[in-house]
Amino acid sequence: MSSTVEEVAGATEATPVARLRGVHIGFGAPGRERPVVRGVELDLVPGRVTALVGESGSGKSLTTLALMGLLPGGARVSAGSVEIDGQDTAGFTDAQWRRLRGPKIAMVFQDPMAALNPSFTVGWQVAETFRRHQGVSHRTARARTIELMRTVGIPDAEHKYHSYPHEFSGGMRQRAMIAMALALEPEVLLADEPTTALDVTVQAQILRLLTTRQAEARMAMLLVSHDLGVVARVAQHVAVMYAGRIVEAGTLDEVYTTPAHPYTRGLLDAMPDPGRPGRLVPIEGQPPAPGHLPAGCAFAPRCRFATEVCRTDDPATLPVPGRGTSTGHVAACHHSARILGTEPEARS
Amino acid sequence: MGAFVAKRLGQAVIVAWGALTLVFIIVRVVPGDPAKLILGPDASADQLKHVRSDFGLDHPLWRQYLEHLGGVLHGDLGDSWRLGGSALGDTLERFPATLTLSLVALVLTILLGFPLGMLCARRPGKVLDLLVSTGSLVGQAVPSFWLGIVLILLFARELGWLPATADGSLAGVLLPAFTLALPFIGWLARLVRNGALEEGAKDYVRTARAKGVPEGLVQYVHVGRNIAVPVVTVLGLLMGNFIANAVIIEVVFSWPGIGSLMVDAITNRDYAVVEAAVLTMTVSYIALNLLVDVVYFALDPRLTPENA
Amino acid sequence: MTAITVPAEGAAARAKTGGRRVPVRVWVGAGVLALFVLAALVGPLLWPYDPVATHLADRLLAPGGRTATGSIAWLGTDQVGRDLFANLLAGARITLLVAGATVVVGGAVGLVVGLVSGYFGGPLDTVLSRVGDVQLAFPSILLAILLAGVLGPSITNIVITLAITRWVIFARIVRASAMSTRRLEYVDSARVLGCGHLRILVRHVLPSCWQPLLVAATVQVGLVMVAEASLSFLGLGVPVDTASWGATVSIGRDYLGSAWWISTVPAAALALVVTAVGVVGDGFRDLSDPRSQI
Repeated sequence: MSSTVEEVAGATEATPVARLRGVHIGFGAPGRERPVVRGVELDLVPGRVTALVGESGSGKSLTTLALMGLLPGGARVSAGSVEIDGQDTAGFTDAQWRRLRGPKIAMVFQDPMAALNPSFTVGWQVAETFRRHQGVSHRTARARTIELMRTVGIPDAEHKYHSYPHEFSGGMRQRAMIAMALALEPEVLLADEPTTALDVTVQAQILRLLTTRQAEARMAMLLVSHDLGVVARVAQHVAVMYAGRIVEAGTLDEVYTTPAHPYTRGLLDAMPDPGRPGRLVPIEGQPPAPGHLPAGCAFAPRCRFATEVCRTDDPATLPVPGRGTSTGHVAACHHSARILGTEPEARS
Repeated sequence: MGAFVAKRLGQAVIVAWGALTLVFIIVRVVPGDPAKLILGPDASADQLKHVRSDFGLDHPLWRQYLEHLGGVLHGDLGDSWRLGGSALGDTLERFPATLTLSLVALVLTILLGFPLGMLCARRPGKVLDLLVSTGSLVGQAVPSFWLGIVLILLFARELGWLPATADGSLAGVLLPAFTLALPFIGWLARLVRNGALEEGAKDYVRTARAKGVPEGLVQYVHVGRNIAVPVVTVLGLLMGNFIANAVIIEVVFSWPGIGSLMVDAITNRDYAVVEAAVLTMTVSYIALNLLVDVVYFALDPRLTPENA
Repeated sequence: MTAITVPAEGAAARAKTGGRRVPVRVWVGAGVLALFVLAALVGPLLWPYDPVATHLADRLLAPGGRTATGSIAWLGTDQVGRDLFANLLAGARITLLVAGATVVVGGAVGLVVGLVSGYFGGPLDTVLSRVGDVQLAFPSILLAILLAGVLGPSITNIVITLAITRWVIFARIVRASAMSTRRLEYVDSARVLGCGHLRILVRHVLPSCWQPLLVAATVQVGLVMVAEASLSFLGLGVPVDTASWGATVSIGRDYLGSAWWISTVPAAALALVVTAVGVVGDGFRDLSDPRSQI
């Protein structure tokens, strides 16, 4: 299974800086864990924004945290490998991880208010990255921080350096978080729902800031989002997650125009589209709770294409039929061919 | 900040005045005839009269109260009939000893309680955590006067490591200070543990780790700073408690502080000294509460004079 | 539909609270307390303690030692040959008496003050609250020493002293629940219907105050026990001819090197009982705290 994806994804692209290969993440004692993420394959390539799309609880955030080595207590990578710079991180010590976090890989979190320490000034928190990794003096770290705060669009950075998080607006806090993440010019930037907690008016600015910086520095970026509109504006590649699996992945264009998995179809049909006015079609039912997965395909209970085989066999991730292996468009569905041939659900 | 301090200062002065009045009522009104109290039941009418005029006890109560208030404002709480000198002077002379004892106890509490709490938070529900939580429960139930006696027996008599009473050395203060601190070490550790567990689950901890900050610094700088606010508040109250609880410890260890002076004065019915001692301790207690408020305000950047 | 589900949920919740397991340590604590109460009530009848008796032949016997009369002193004897077991039982009676009386007196005063100030509010509440503030600004041990010193040693005086240092705590707790009850709708409607203040207080406000008051009382029992022992240790508590754990510890100080048991026996008993009170108090609070039931 993994070899298929490697062939299709690796052939035409630059070498990934970070990749997940068949990663399983589970909670609980070894051997008896409840699987939450199941066999995720993901390549993060320099200069490319990959979007990870799915409902909350689908395992997006855990997948992202696994890339940072920051899985919450009780969760662990139970199978597969997290590779950064071609190095398997399994068995990494705390110190080895620390050397990666900041200069190699950095992260922007969802809620900047909670993600900033309320008791320290914003400047101090940004400068800490310089002090820990570059061993520079407070003065140098301060100068670099102020410069950095300017480049992420924080006005009056000299003064704002000494402000506390609660004195910042939501957008400014997220800019500060971005500054913190960009401080050491990482090769991989992870952004977990970076605009969800922000005002709609600010969301566009923050997205523009992220993409501009990503393009300038040719970073590999992973954008976690549940908002297909945001994804369409920012990403070049999309991976759709459902119940811990990546059910479909490919270029933005392919996945959006010719979805090969019924869940992706459903998500797109549920998205307002000015080009296709009409009633939105929601996906019926609820995703399964982790640890209570149905036999066969996890999406089968909600799927209008489901047949007997879907309830017994979990489909493998395979290249989407009729497109050849070179495009890298893959899906995990027994009925991809049927779905590609079907018109979108009737809109009246 | 200034307005906030002024407001709290005003409240503290009112509370101190209330305490002063309360002490006056207890010492001058409750016992009936203070002169009889001073001289004991066998005093002659002549002696009683003499004492009454000496202490102004023949005046009506309201006048005594006003004179007393005036005296306090001038730092005059009357003379000790036993020691002869000014009661306040005698008391203040022994205040540094009590303060030293309480401060050392406070330092011991912080030095042992804080890291212990952080260690417990690292592995909640494990052996150390259970040990500390049981220890704090028992530690607060064991009477401090007996604990002091046991420590004297163990460290001074049996092992001979530390002196049992004040000899002016640092070692001399260790045993009484430890006795004073012990019940509160486990208590502080519990407080720090709960705070660290609560704060440790917050997002900013993950941010710090994502920056590559070493775990020790994450705990002691990022988490530590956030639990410092409640802990500092509690430390101020603890210091006030130590000054008050020192009374018993000072008696056990014959420590020359205000507490032993006060108990001595009570048994000898030297009420001017009793009043001076109680007032000194109460005022320092109130002052510490004030200090806590101010420090709290200074430590938490989110507080403004309006919402403090 | 809702009419069916709501009572069902309520019944389930009740069943859950009713079936909540009381932790083992709470049972152990309750057992220790029961033993303590039994010892305090019955013990002195079976093993009478004579505070003025002296048996010089039996002085400073170690625990388990045989006295001149052939009986065994299980906990040893003191410096004049009095049996420490009998002393312990007599001391338990004093401890129980003082702690019980103090909490009842202090609790009653606090209840009345708290009800009046929480229910009526207004200037009376302001005055009573300020008095409470002033008293809380006082370290309670200082107030106790001062009062006990002025009043002189007697059991009544020590109860008065300790009740005075405790009433504020009770008053605060009762005031808080009285205030929150006062604002409830059914109390308003009772007032509109013409119920008198006394009736509303007794029928509507008082029932909501019992539970927090009882939880506070268990905590205070432990504190009062330690306070009584401390005062007696300083010689300001019970009269010299009365057995008290604190006083016995004080006597034992002079014999530490030769007879450690004199101080240790009553101190250990006190620590055990106070710990048991703490454990039971915690369990009691957990059971009655609606938040911990979720």
